[in-house]
Amino acid sequence: MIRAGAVALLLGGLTGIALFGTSLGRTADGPPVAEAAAVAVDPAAPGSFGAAPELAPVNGWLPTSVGSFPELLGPVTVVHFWSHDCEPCRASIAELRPLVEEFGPSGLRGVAVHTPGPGASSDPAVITQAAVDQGITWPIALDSDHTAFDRWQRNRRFWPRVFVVDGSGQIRFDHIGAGGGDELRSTVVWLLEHGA
Amino acid sequence: MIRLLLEGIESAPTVSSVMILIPAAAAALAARQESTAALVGFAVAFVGAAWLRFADRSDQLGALTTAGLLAVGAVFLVVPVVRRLDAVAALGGLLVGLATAALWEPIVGAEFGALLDGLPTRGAAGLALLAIHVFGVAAPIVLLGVVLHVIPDPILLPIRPVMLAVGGGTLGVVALFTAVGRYDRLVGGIVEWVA
Repeated sequence: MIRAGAVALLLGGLTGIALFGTSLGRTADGPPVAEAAAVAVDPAAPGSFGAAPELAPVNGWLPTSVGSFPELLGPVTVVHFWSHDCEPCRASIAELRPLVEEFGPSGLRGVAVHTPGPGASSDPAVITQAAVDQGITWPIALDSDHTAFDRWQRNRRFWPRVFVVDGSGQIRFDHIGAGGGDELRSTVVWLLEHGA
Repeated sequence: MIRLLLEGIESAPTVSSVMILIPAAAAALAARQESTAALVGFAVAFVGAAWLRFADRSDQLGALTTAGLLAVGAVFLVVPVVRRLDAVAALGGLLVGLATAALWEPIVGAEFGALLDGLPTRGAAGLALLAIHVFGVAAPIVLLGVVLHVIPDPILLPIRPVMLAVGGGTLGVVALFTAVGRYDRLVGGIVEWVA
């Protein structure tokens, strides 16, 4: 009897949270849905998720000759967060690599941000080897203390996560986890054809 | 939906998942004969708090926590706590679940990623789908809960002090390593050693 009451109390709490949730509807890190839609006049145009944060300070760059994030930005830039030991990151990079190879000459740039996942190493040698193994040929920001990770992803922090930044510094694509390759490609193609 | 569950099961042995499974197992063991109530409390708090965070509603977590504490306080004042071992276990599990949700920074596959992308606008449906994925991630703990539930009391009785010591001690170690920011390294080392 008492046990049933305790379980009922807990289930009631969960129902309350659910009902609370249905009363609200807004986007995660960007503007409200209606605002994001209003930005996109062309129905095929990617949405806008606000200005891209700074990618600084970081704990270094690979190769070390890279000076800062702004000098890496192109007409379209893919910024992806990964960890060297993360399997879904591997799948995500496998989708990114052909895109960068195909559209690099048209102005697509890639910037990898290595934020070590739970238990992962922040040793540059380990990261360099993983980058070679996974075919990352674009610059890597070392975000060992999670500063960029927290700044870009705020309360919703995941590996992997892919952003596309347009030439005016606005985030036009935001995808969590592996997959999303088709949508990423169409976003990149649209931005390269139409600009910001 | 099935793929979401399977992806959760598949991710159970990863470091980011083991980080949340250890406190859940410890809570179940420490609760001894009330492990089911502790796991239900853990699951409700964990899923609820993770959903609030991942749906970008963390600002509502404080208000809900306050409301929950008031409700629990009222229940415990009305009925003497010592006679409500199941309620105490559920509350303990709830607190551990609430804390553990803050530790969860998942490595995300394609199915879970698609869910997380739309979580802020999905409302209660998103909460239900998140619960399904978490059920998959926590499959080893569900199994532990079932085992503890079906083992007859006469068999469990002699090992209850051991369960209490292991469960409580583990929670203490988790708390200590979390405080010094080394919990992920500890779990990473354990996973590497086991593998």
